[in-house]
Amino acid sequence: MLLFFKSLPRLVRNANKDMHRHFSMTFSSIVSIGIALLMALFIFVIYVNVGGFTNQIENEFMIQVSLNPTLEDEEISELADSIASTSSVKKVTYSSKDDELDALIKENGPMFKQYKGKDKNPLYDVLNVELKDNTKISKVTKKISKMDGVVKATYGGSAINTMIQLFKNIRVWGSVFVGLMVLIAVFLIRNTIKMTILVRKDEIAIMRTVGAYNWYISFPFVLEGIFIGFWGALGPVLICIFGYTGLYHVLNGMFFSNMMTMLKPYPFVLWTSGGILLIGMVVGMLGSYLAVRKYLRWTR
Amino acid sequence: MIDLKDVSKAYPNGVHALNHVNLHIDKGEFVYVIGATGSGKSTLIKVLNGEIVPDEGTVIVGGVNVGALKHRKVPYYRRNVGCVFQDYRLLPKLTVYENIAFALEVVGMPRKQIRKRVMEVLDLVDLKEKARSYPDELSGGQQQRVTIGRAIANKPMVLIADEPTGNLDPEKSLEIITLLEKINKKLDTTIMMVTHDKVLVDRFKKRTIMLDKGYVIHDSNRGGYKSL
Repeated sequence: MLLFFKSLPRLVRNANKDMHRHFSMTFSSIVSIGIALLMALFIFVIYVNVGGFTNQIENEFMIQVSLNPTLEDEEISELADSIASTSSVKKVTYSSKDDELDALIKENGPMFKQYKGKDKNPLYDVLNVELKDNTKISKVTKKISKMDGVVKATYGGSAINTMIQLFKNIRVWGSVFVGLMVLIAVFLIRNTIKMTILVRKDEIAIMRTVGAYNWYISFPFVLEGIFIGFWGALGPVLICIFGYTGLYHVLNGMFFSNMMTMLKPYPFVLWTSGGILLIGMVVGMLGSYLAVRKYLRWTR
Repeated sequence: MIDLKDVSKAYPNGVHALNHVNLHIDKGEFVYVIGATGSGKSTLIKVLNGEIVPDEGTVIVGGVNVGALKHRKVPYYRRNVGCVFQDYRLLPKLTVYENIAFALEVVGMPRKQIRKRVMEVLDLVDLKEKARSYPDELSGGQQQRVTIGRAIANKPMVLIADEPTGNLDPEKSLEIITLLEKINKKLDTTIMMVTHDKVLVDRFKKRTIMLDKGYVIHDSNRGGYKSL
């Protein structure tokens, strides 16, 4: 361990020297990992912001179940319990027709006040149903509408349903794509380190002959991978910090309308940048580790 | 210093490179190992420097059972066994000084000590004035002297030279054997030199071991081909 720390400056120097010695290969790896991380960054920014947007919509999104006016309080309570026990249902809340009218007046103006008073209110008592998984809204609505005592069950409609499905797909496929990009970066770095090992095979053979420990031989390659990852991540990090902040200010923190608000740059860009740097270095380390394990294995 | 007891080694292709080899070499001895191509000389070197493990028998070098060495202990063991090759194996992008220092750097020696030791070695191999030259600026004999310098930099107990004069003309070969004798006498290093050079073996008589098809067929203390 003492030898490791004593040798560390030399190992770092060796790794740097190697990077300069095989500059073209190193540069291509840096560019590759940079591109991979940049794409991952774009997807992540979209993923996070769309995720926020979807949550905003989803939170406001529920099934409205209009109840038959002849139902007694006890029957309403039983119906609410029966809906609540349906799978995918998160929460059921009761709203009387008077509450509904108040909400209508509040949203659309005092002209609806004319419906206030006994027997004048044409609205129904309703149960507002929130779901755990909004993609099942159509199915659950159909099920509820068939229940006794229900006049009708409605939700935002198929357009919004499609939109939710679309956002879900973006999340899933975005994650898959980022994962794929990271895998490609690992593979590219592994290849670069493999080439470096092959170029340096005479030197490695001499090192073995004169009694260098295996870690002494392999560590500079792992360091090289980490450095490549770091330099590759630097571009995306700068774009994240300055690009996202700039975009946020240019767009005033909104995409198209105030329904799609962007996440505030701070601390979002700092966490994201830290994450990108870390991913870059871990990916670099992983790539070089794989190459070292395969091409520097020594048996007798 | 070196003890081989009933050592055998066969390769997966069925070639029996060493067959029941028994050898004892004392500390400070200088021995030649001769034999035709395929006689087992290279395998003997590989067994001694821990590159391969014998199928049978024991190999003891400086009290270390080389065949039973744990994998991670092999590098440490190798610091006690210097190796010189026919094709020099110098790093072309490093100077003479750096090539010798390389052997010390990889074992973690501090910089100051490296400088001191490299200067001693350069003095010994008579290449002080070439310290800043690159290998391709040197003659074959000088390159081989650098290789020898690198091999002895760690002060090994044993120096194995695999046909060190194979690529050299007679004059340069003389230079190398003289240097090896100097190292043998001055540092008391045990030297095993594998060679095909009849002239050298006959002129600088030393214990000569002859291998054939993996067997030790002659072991003469009188030295020279004629004694075999």
